[in-house]
Amino acid sequence: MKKTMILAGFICLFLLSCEKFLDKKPDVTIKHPISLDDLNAILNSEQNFNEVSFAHIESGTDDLRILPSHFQRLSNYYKDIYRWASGEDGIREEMVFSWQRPYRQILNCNVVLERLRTIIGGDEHLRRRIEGDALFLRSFTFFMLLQSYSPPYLIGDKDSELGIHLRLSSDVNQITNRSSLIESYNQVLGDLKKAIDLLPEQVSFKTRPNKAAAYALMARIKLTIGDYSAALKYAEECLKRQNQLIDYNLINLHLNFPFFALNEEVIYHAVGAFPSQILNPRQVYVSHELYSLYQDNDLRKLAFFNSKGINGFSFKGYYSGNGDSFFAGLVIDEVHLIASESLIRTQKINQGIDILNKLRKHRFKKESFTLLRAENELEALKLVLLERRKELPFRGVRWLDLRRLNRDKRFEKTLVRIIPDNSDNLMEVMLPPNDLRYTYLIPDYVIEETGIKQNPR
Amino acid sequence: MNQRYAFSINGGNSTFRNRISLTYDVVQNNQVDNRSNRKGLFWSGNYLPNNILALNYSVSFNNQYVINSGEALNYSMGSAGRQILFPYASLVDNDGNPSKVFRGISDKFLDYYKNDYLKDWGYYPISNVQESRKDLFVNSFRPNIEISIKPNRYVVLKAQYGLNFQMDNSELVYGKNSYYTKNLQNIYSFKKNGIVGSIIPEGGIVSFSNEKLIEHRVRLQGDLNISTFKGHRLVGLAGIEGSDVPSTFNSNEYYGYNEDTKTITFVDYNSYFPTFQGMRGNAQIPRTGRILGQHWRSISLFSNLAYEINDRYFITLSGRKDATNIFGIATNRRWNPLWSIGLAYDVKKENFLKDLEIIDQVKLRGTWGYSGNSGGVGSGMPIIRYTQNNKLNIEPEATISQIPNDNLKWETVRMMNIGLDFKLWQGKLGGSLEYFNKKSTDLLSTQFLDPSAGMRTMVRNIGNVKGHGFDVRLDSRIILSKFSWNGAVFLSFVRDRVVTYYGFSQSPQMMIANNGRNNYPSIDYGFYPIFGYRTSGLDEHGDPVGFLEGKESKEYSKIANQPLDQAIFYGSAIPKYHGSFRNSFTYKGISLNVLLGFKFGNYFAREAADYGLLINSWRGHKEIEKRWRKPGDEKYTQVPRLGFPVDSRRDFFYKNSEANVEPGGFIRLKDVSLNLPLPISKKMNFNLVVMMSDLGLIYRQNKQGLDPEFLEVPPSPTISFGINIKPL
Repeated sequence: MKKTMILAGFICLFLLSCEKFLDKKPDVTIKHPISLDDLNAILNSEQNFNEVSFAHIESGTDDLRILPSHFQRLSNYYKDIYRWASGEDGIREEMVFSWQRPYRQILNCNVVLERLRTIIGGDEHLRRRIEGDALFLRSFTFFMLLQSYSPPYLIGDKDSELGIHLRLSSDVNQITNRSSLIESYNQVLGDLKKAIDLLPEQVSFKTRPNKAAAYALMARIKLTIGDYSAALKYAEECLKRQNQLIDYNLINLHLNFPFFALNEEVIYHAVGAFPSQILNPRQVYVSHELYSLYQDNDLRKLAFFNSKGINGFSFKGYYSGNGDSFFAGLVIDEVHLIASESLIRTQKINQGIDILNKLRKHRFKKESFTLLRAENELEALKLVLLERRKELPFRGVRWLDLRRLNRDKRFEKTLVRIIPDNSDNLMEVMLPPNDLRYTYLIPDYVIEETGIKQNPR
Repeated sequence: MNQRYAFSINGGNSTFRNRISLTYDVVQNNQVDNRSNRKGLFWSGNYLPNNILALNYSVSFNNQYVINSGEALNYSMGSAGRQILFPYASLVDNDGNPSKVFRGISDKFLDYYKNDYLKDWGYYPISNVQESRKDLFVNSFRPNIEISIKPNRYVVLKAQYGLNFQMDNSELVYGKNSYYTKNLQNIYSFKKNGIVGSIIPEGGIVSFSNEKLIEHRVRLQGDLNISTFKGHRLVGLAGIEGSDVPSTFNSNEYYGYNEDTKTITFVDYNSYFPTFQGMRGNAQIPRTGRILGQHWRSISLFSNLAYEINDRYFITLSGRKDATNIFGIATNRRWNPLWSIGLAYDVKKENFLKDLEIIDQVKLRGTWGYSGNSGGVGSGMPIIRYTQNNKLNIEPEATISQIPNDNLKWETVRMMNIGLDFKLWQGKLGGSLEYFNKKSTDLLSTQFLDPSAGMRTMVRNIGNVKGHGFDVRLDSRIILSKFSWNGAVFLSFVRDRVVTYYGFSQSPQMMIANNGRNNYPSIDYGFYPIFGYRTSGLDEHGDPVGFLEGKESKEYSKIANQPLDQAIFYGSAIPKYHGSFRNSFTYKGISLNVLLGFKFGNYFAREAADYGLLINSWRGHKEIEKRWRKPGDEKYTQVPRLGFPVDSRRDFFYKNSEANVEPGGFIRLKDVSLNLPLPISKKMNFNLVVMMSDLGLIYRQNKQGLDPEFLEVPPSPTISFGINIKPL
């Protein structure tokens, strides 16, 4: 009996040590996220959070143009995107980028938020910051998805079933459905409001958001939905914390990339990630119409554009310091413009023009700078909208402006592009104001997998 | 060309024997500047002092030196989507001097800015090969020891320990005149006060890497052999095996390397510098260098028990459990079990067959077994991986590499087989016939998810599979006075089908686009299905014509969106039948061996012309030569007209049409070897050995001359000669 007990004891000990032996991690770089530092590390990954995939946001605007020879080499999917056609004939890997990548970002946020609830203790400041970050990023991503895949929405509009899929948990087996438009915006605003509360005032690297970034994003969202008094309030909160503009008179405008990443105007750094055959910075040109808006003493003419001889001008004013497809983050010049437009629209025209002049002082040749003046709201609006157009090409903002301004008969616009037809002759394609194509089609394989409602055509 | 020299001596007596061999291999690869040599020492021996103790040991030392060019010719063009060197590139000019070849930057650009960059930016592939070099040293030490103790006549205890200690050190130098170095210096060049300089220091670029791997293997085993009362015997073994493999890797890189004085220049990796004409925007100096570590462990428990009665009835029981230290797995899912039970009946031993001379051996056997596989995931917690990809934020960063799937179940396989072994006419004919039947439940497979989940793929249980098949082996031997012939043929037939399927359905486009390359199991189409769009060939414009709802059409995207039953389903990419046929002939000491292999009952989709790939990536295909060029050609060719602008839908349709599906059967001449004794000396045996392998196909079912197992370039035939010398 004793012998059996000893034998049994040895066997147990042996099996236990087997398990311990097999507990060793097979790779030094992997682990479970079990500490606040681990969650913070996930949020630090630029590839996962600062390289966004909303290529459609910039592909459809009147800022860009590609040469007929480049158009002919595009795959069918990108040809369709460029000429505002359906864009549903692509091969899977092309389409996946614009839907799966944003949801990958949302998955990362959800995992962080879920793990946060299971971790006990740790630095309270770090905990608040982690939660604020994840909510900020989720809100930002949902907002950009709404601008690609849902119709334009202004406060006071009737609700519609064409919102986005609000994924709020990391469970891969959950059902995918479309929430209503108003529910979707409520989620965006709710998450962002919480983030404003939780985020710290300062961060060591502007690839992570701080309070100013959350205020700036809120201002942008409120402006997009036409809530001007709220937009003003948030823009002002942001400007209280950061308002330094770069004087273009003092920088070297002739550099190939005059701006460096994380410069003093940047509040939050994010860039559009490849691949997008259309937005390839070596092949994309600016539209003649955009270039013609800049006066000769406007320093942005030199800072933003590169002459390519007979083919026109290409863009070099990326605030990322690199030829990324577009700058997708938040910059203080945009916040100035939001404040200016909101002031004008809430009957404080002179204050609005003042801000506009402050911005222009940093953008025009010192010697020939003249102040702007406006007699009434319409004149002032025209001035601020022109300044917006000139200040913000390739920033992920123009598409939002087109969608909201088309709702106003005074500012609606028909977009025109020139492409080669099948016999190499050139033809025009047009996008009239408020066209259904301002809302992109959800990739058809997503509809296949989930059965959600497709956008109308 | 490879050379191999080996020398060995052995000696000793029945108690203590040793053997030492020395080997020397020299390999000259088919690329200039790519060669290696290896020296090895192997010592083994055994010590058997008495009937109880036996000791077996071996030690090997190996030292290998491999040299490579740092910039071999098969580089990626890496510019604007181009993948390889462009068609008709000329590497030498008419006088045989190295030619300049386009690489990423046009001559017009280089000429226009020629006073603004530092070094000659031309790329001369032939001479550039010599400007960089990679030296790799591999050293390994492998001792092994095995002790067995036989305390009584029933039991043998064995313990075995093996170690594999391996160290790799490499040094990669991009010389100061190499394209790699000059290209970097130019990209980071600037002009100040009229003088051109570069942020990248003068000199070469050197990088070092070190890898160390240690593998411990332990095995403990006990064997049992008990004869009880007359005719009954119990034989068994049980044991445990484990391995522990830690490995580490580190690498580092230095600029401004002077090969003579071994000096380097430290650079600023943090600042952003403007690049030449903004080629890379504002960029930091490229930096490699990392530290990695891995540690794999595994344990197996195994045992086997057999009970024999009268040397003719056998019953066996075996089981094992395997586990590894895969990360992220719940403890109770770590061990994969496998057990089986078998019966065998040696009919020859029976009295009624014992005297029948024609039959040497007849044996019936059957086994029934079960194994489980937990899929390696399912702990309920995500896994993150710390990475080093950030460009702006230097704090620690991590990425989520795995999300748990709480619904994951064990995959189980139940396998049953019965067989008959026989040998007749004193070994002149023998063989075995075996039938097996297999059932897999909750099969695991990686599936594409709904993209809204955020992850592209996940391992899931997808369904139940049934399979059956048989193996036939026949061998024969004929001996006439000095000549003998041995032949063995082996044939296997397998048929699997999906019985239930509850994975995600994959779209028709996805199934067709992956034609046989990925396993998309389904009830209707089995495994690795091969399809082809119906086509009636080319029309008078050189465009391929398909069928939309039964009528001829060129609306390629509508055709692609039709359900799968509109395309032709051929079958699986997995052969139903495979086997081999070996012949050996001997005559007076000369022997010739020929091995053939064959596979049948499958299809494959061959590579075809893809004009989008040609125009955008410079990847062509031989059949573009035979393309449609003028009206009337549609009678002679299936290859469409070169279409520009790119029409990716048309390319997709043609590539996946029935024109490009071929039957996959073949007979391959796998190897031939010849052993020829040479009558050179009476004191020593000289044997000439000739071996030839990768000899290609002697029969193929497809009419395109393709080898179904190598859709790119098949391996070249190799032939080796050797001489064995042995003192008599």
